[in-house]
Amino acid sequence: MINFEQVSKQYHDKSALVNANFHLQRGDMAFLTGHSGAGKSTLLKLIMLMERPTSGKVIVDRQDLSQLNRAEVPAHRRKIGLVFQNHQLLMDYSVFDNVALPLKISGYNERDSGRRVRAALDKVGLLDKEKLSPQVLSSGEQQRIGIARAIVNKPKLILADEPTGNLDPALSAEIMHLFQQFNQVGVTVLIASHDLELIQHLPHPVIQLNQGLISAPLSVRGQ
Amino acid sequence: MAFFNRRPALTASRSQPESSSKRLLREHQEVAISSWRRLWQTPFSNLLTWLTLAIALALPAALLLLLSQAQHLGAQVNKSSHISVFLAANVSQEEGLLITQNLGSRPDITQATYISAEQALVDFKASSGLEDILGSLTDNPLPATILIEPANTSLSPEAVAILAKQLRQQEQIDQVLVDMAWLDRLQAILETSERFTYSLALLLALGVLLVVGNTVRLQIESRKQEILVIKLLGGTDAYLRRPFLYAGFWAGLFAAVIAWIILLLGVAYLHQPLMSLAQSYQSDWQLQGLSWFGSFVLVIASCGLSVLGASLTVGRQLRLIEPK
Repeated sequence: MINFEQVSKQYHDKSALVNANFHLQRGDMAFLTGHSGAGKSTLLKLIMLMERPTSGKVIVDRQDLSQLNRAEVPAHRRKIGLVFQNHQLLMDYSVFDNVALPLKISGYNERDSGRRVRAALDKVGLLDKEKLSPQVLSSGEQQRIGIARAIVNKPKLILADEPTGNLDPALSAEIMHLFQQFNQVGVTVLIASHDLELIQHLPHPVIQLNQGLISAPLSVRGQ
Repeated sequence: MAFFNRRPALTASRSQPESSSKRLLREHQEVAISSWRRLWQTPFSNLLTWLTLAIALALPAALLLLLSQAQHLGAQVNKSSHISVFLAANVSQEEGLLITQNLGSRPDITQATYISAEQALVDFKASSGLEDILGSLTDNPLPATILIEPANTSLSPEAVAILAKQLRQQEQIDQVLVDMAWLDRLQAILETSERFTYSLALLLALGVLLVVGNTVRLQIESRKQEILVIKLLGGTDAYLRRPFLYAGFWAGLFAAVIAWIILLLGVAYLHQPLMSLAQSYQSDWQLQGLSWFGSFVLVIASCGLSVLGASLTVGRQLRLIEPK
């Protein structure tokens, strides 16, 4: 699903990623760890095409990303469900409208969109909050709304950038359990997290980044 | 897990296939409505923008309106301009009538009227109020006159001048009077006003582009977070541009309506004094408001300029906002 071949990213005089190689197969779930500044965000940005590599090749869903021009970036992003650390919800939208945004962008009509939004909200257990503003929700609930928005389009790949960064351990475990559920039905999941305590207890491979280098390469599936 | 497993069922139950043109139409409808609703979230600042645009539109529109009607009036005055032909003193009444007849049959002359020396004296006595003094004269000092009305085809001052020149060459004719200077002056004034109006219209159109561009820039700035999220979720440039283009369209529409009202009030205000002025020149000319066609042009120009102003800004501004 995701293939990095000798990928390097240089920012001015600083190397964010050096000759990164890894392969995440379709249906896998893996963690990406490392200190802040180790290159986790850079790696995710390369997958999202928010950045282009200085050298090397990034392949997502059999598509070589270097082949995509600026106009093709939106369609690529629509295939990926993205979960942010700070959830990036729009506070002047209702919960429903936040979750419906990816569908609106994809051009769904209101009827289909409403059904999908409610299914996604039901999945994260917040169906009764659809009319509220995200502002009145707790941070755990806000993060779940962010997850509902990421899955509403039924993406084949979910990327999460520190999804449990601001949450207490119980809520973090709950969020991770949600991702595991998505993975069980065949969705590929890559989660950047520095919450080693939590990751250690989960049966998923870990890609460890250290100053732009992958120090613990990902091996076989289901490790 | 049920949510993802239901994918085939959900796909099958989607009310598709919705054709891409139908979908585009629906999306445009949705954006038109949502951008309309957004207008009323900040009605006061929007009203200020619309007023600014309306004034920039009303000013050249009013000048163009006045100008087109002044040109119409000018043509009318020009048409009714007579040439006075004074016959030589030795030309008899019979000869005078013959010349009048000849002139009247020329294609570039609509009408030639013979006024005998005696008739001229009577008219002059009546109009001048110098009856007593003129009555004491033994000789009639006035020559016989032919009043000529040029044909419609020779409206231009140049054509009138050529006609006058031809008349002067006849030996029975003593003098030909055309108030050419006045006609030339009117023509020059009209042309100057015309060029002035076009330059002003051009500058104010540029003003409209800048005002709309700046408004859109501020709107984009205030919705930066939303734009960032939409870009990350895969919104295309066209999707992101659309609400701002519609905002420009609505601004143009409201500005046109306000400009139309300003013009209506302006015409009502100027109507009375202009009519008195026209009456003093024996003209029944009246200042007309904008016609249906004129109103249509105003709306099209306003909306067109506003959408253009928005589109010139929006692409560049959206490119400046990239997720980092």
